Amino acid sequence: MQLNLPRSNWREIALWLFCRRRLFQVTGDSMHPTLAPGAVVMVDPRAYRKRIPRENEIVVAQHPRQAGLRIVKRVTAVFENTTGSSARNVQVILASDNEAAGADSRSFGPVALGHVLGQVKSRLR
Amino acid sequence: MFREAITKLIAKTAVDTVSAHCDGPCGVYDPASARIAAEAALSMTKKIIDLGPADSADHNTYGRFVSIKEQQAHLAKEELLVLWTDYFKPEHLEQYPDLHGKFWNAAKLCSAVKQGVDVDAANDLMAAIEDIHNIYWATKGRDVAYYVAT
Repeated sequence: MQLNLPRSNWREIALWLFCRRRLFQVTGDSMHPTLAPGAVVMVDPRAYRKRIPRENEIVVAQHPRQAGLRIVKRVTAVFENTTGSSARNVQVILASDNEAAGADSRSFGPVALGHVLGQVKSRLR
Repeated sequence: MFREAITKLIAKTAVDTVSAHCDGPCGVYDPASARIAAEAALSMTKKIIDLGPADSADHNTYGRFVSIKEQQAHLAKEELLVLWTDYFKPEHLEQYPDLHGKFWNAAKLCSAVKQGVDVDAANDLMAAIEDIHNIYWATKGRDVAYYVAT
């Protein structure tokens, strides 16, 4: 379990040079104290091609209801919906680190794996 | 350190943003929920006064009125506090420097409505919530008319 996000090391920088990492700047403080507003993170867009997210990983996801809004949250639960088709239907529950954020961050329900854009691997600043 | 300098340089190239705003996930806030509770408390305050000194047959009704008034006044306070602490951000405070005062006064009025049988306090609370309604929708850039149920 990794709650703290490591600072970017040379390996991360090399992966970024090879276009294996995307940079995102964080706005807002719902991920405090892990990520302060203005933090820049390195995201692995391929992290979930071969495996599904695990609890406590920090991810960037497309907001399920607000088109064009990308959010950064921590995975608190992962489950598979097996009803219906034979295709895997993985859903994740995302939450803020900042407990003062109140109940709102728990209100948007599960997010489909397809909405998860990648895993936050490290922090540049 | 060399790596620190490099990471700072790379960080400057970040152009995409990801939102960690507390209201990003659901974004559903509305001062109407506080207004409904405050209006219910106002209504119960009036009913208690109309009932007058309760004789023994009215004790149950009287008790219910008091109980509902206190519940609704407390709910109004909770709804206001959530709006205040979860929705409003420092940038809103720059625009409305008296925001904290307005919420503090409104919360105090909730307490007054809860504790006493005070029509003036209940009316003042409704006015305070109307004021907050106007500020809230202005920050959303929307013109939403204030209304009451009764």
